[in-house]
Amino acid sequence: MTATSAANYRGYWIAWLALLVITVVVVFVEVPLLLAFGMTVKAAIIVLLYMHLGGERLGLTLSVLLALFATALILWLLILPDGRMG
Amino acid sequence: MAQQATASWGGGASPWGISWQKMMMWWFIVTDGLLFAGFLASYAFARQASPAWPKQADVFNMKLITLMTFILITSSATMATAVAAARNGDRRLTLRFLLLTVVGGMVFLGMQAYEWTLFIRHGATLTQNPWVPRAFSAYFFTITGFHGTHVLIGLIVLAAVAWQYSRDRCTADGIELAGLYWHFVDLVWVFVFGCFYLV
Repeated sequence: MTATSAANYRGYWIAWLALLVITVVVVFVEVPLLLAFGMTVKAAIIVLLYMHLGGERLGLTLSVLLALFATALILWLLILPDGRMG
Repeated sequence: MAQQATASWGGGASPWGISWQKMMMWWFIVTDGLLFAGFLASYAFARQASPAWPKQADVFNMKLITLMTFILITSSATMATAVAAARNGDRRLTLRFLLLTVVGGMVFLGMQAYEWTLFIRHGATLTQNPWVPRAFSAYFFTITGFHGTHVLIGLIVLAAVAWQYSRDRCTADGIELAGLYWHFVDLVWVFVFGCFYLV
């Protein structure tokens, strides 16, 4: 394996370590805001790096991310408060 | 997964420079992601509306679930390595890491099945459970059931892709598409783990 191709893989395993560290942190530190932040960072690592969305054309990246963010936002911000009624 | 390595369009430049296969996989991922977003939002609503909700640590073996999470994350890393190896033309590494990914997925699924049996043994079914709201077990089985089914489908796809690749009938593009699906399965688990088990 040449140095360049070995370097190809290293990034994925550094990301793996980051994902594990974040997982451990959110499991032991039971702060909801930190959990939300942790999930977002993990998702960003998986989507942008593992799924290579970070390396795709901006149009594709935005289409995927905005579709998911917008819907999730609407679901959570508009529907969730209704659960607290009554 | 198609033999063609590049998109051959009759009608000009392909949108965002990707093959139609990759485009369709992203479309599928977005819609399937919305499915799980819907499930989780519904669960969050039900939980907010319930007078009480069991404490996860009392019901689940949190060490087991955390280990499951580690394993699935690792399988994503092995998958990403397999895709990169395929791009590099390193056949042996590709197959080795595809196999590792499948093993990781199978271990995850086995642990999930074990967790289900523990839960069922406590008296939980789709419509009732020993803890306060009946919705609790319904949401648990539905969400983890849908996710587990996606894992199972992913394992079948990975096995098929690995088999075809070993016989030189699958390209690096095909491996990458399978990888996109597998990472999506891991991504969903990030949110299921966080929203259902941790919060």
